[in-house]
Amino acid sequence: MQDRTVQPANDFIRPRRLLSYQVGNMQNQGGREYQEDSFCFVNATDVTEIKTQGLLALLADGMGGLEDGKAVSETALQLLREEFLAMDRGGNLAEQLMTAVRRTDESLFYRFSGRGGTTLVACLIYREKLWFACVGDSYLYLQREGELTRLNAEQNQCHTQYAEQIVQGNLDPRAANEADGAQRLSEFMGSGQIGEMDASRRPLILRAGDQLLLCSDGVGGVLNQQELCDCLAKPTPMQACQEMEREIVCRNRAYQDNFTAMVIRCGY
Amino acid sequence: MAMTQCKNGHYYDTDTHASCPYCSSQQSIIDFSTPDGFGGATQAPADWGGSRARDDSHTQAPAGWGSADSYGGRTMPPSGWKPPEAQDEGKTMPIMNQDVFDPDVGWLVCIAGPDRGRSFSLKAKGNTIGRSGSHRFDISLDKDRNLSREAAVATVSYDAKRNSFVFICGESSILYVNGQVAESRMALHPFDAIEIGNSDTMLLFVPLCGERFDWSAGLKKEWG
Repeated sequence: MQDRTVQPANDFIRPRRLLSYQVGNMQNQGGREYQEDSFCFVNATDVTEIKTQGLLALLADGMGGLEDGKAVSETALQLLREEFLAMDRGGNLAEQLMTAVRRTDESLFYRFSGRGGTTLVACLIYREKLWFACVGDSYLYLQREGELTRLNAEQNQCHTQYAEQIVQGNLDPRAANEADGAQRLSEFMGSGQIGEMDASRRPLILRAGDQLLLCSDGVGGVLNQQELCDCLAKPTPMQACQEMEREIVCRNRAYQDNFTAMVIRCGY
Repeated sequence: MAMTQCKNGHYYDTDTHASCPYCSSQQSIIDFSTPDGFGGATQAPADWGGSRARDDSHTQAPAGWGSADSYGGRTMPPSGWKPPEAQDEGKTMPIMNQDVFDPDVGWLVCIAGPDRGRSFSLKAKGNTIGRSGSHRFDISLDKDRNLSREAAVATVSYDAKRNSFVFICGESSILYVNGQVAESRMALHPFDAIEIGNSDTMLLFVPLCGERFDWSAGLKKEWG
């Protein structure tokens, strides 16, 4: 149920409070030779534009195992930004977002010929509702009332293999975890043939106090839920992101992947 | 902290940064201690996974469920992923290559240079020689940095009708056959030695098809 201010019966004019959004981000190359993650916000702090167009948050982790990861992830963002600006706000945003992601995948395939790929997390907030579409193994978390929940399924071969196993009645995840190529993506942007993306069919209604965290696996695979919650408890989203960065840097992991995080905090 | 947005949609603190630290060229490697030849950069298949520490504090799902620990490895496409264009570089190719008879007609063997010891199959067509970069050459001398990655250095062509080989020079280097400057188009004879420009590479031409044998006529009965 949506959180509404209780209005007196004879007061027809009092405006309802609208959610407002505070954002933060961080990005770090880690121990890698290049930064292949890309991210951007659109309209994040423009109250008028948020009302008329909505807020867009995009994160893309360019695949290091293919070519030109950075070019692919940046291009994905540019294309989706254009798609977002062209959307019909009166129409079905879930469908439009999925179509936009598919079209972007095809464009990336034409441009990079299947030699480059990226993951994607796309969040569209409009009228206090969240639509999302994700491809690959980056993370989208929702923190609500202290609980952190991952909203997107991880699209890698470990998961597809496990899903197949379950159908056969084998519930032991170890074989899937330890299989060769378990961490290979099962879907990626730029393949030109995305089978499934993990996208909302109906929007999630946002509440004051909700926080959304978009991050690449350089964060999601390193900090556990409790650690992420501790960071998200910082006074501002920007400080939350900085705390995540500090936490990862001080672990000084060899081979640390590129890492990126974006936080959107909802409030009144 | 004074937060501002850059034109690319990144937020940064103007108290600590004069310009956006997230826009492409600004980032640099933080000194994470890595052993020599850290695995994350190499492409060798055996290394890509890195050592995945099974750290239970990461697990968000029931115990034993794989958490994404990309640590150490590059993000890889599905097993067996092949960019479709890599199989057909604009050449007309049959759809099912493995069903079409396409035997070797000879070989180039590298007897000097960084790729020394490697042999390369020649097929019944124009076989391009180069160093594979964005193009795929039939004969790719991967280790020789003197060779162009853009254009073919030379082509060895087998004409099935005439059962003969032709050597065609490319435009990026001077070529030598048996120590003499190669003509732009010349016949090749068994055990001719090909050298390329200022490179150390020497390729020995070893034909299969010729006076003794070819794939259409088979083994010639008048031999010996």
